[in-house]
Amino acid sequence: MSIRTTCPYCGVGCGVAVAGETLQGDPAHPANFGRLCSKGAALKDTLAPKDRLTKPRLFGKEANWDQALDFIAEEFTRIRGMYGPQSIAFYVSGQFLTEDYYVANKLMKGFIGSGNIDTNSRLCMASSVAGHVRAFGEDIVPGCYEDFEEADLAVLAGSNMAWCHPVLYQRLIAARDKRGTKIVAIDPRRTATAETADVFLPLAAGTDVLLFNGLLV
Amino acid sequence: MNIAADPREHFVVIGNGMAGMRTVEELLKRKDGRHCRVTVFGAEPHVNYNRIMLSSVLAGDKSIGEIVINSSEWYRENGIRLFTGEAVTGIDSAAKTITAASGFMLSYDRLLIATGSRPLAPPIPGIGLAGVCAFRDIADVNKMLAAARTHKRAVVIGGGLLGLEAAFGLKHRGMSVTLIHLMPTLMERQLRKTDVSAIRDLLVFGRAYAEVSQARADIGESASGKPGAIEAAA
Repeated sequence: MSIRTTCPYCGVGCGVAVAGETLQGDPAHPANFGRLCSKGAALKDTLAPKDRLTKPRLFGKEANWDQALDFIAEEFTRIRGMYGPQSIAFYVSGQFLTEDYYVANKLMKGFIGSGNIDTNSRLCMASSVAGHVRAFGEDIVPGCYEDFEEADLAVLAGSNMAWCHPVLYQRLIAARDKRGTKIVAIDPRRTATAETADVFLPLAAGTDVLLFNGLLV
Repeated sequence: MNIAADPREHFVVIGNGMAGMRTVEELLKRKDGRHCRVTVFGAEPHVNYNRIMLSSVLAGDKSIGEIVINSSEWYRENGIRLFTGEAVTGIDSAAKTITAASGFMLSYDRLLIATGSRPLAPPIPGIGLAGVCAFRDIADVNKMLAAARTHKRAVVIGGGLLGLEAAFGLKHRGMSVTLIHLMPTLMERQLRKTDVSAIRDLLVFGRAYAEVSQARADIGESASGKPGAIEAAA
C-alpha cells in the first residue's frame, strides 16, 4: 500500500508517495506532478540511518542529557561572568510556537540579561508579512503555482529558486521553453538562478528598497 | 540650560520599555550619540524595568526594585529627560512635534517609537469588568497583589506559560486558583500528557484546581458589580 505524504524540506510542498522501501514523487500531486529534487529523492535514506546522533556528545564522548545541559549552563554562566551578558546571543528557529519563544526570550532577557535574541521568523518572514498586509490586507500567499505557467514575466527578488525550490524552478523553466516567459533575477549574488535569467540585476546589498521605490515613481 | 537654546539634536523616544532604553544605552556609547539630548516618554509611572521578570514579582521571588534596569539616577546622570505616566497621543511629523495626554507639546529632531505591544484578550463577555486584568505590566501585578490581599479566589484563563506563572504567583500569594484552558491538556503543543500531570502535581492547586476541557468562559457580574461568577461550558 502506498502512503501519500509531503516532503518536509522547503516550502514548495512536493507530494511524496511511499510504498514499503520505495519512495518517489507523487505523480498526482499538483505541486510537483511526480518530480522530486535531490533532497526529496534522498528522504528515504534519512529516516532510519544507523549513524544518526540520538544522544548528546561531550568532547567526542557520549554523555547523558543532564551532563550535556549542565555543561551548556556552566559555560553560559562562565562566559557571562567573564565577558558580561552582551557577550551572548541567541539566533532562534522560525519553527517555534509562542510558548517556546516565551521561554527563549525569558532565558535571554530575564536571566542572561541581554536583548541579543532574534529569530528566523523575523529574518525570513516579517518583511513579507508586513508587505502582504499593506498590499492585500492580510498575510496571504497571493499567487498559485499555475501562475508560473501563465506569467509573461517572472521577477525573482532575492530568490535563488534553482537551488532553494528546484522543483518549482523546473516548472518555470519548462514554461519559459514553452511560451517564452521572461525572467528577471534581482540579487547581489550571481546565483545559479541569476545565470539563467534574461535580465540579472546585481544590486549592491541593501539597495533593493531603492530599486523598488524607483519603479514606483 | 534653556532647552530652546540647546543647539544639540533632540532625540525623543516614545516608550520607556526594554527596547527603547536599550537603544538609548547604545546611543550614549556612540561618539555622535553623546551630542544629542534625549527625552523619553513612558505611559507607565515607572523607570525602565524588566517586564520579563514580572512573574517573579507576582510570586514574591523578586521586588519591583530588583527588576529595575535603569534607575532614575541613570536618567539623571546621562542627562535624559524622563516623563513617566505620560502617554504620547499625537505626532505631527510635518511640524516635528509630539503631543502627550496632558496636552504637553514638544518638538523633536528624531523620533523613536518603541511602545511595545498590548495583550490581546479574546472577546469574552464581561472582559472589561473590574477585577479582570491581563498580565503585562506593573499595574497588572499590583492589581493582582491587591486582589490577593483582600480576596480569596482567583481564576486564570489561559494555560500557557504566562497563565501558569500567573496561577503559580497567585497561589503563592495565598489565593485558591482555578485555571481554565481552551484545550484538553496544558501546553498541548509542547508537552506530552505525562509531563502535564507532572506540572499539575508541581503546582498543587489543590481543591480549587479545575481543568475544564474545551472551556469557554463567561465572566458574570454579581450584584456588587464585581465579576462574581465564571461560567465554564465544558
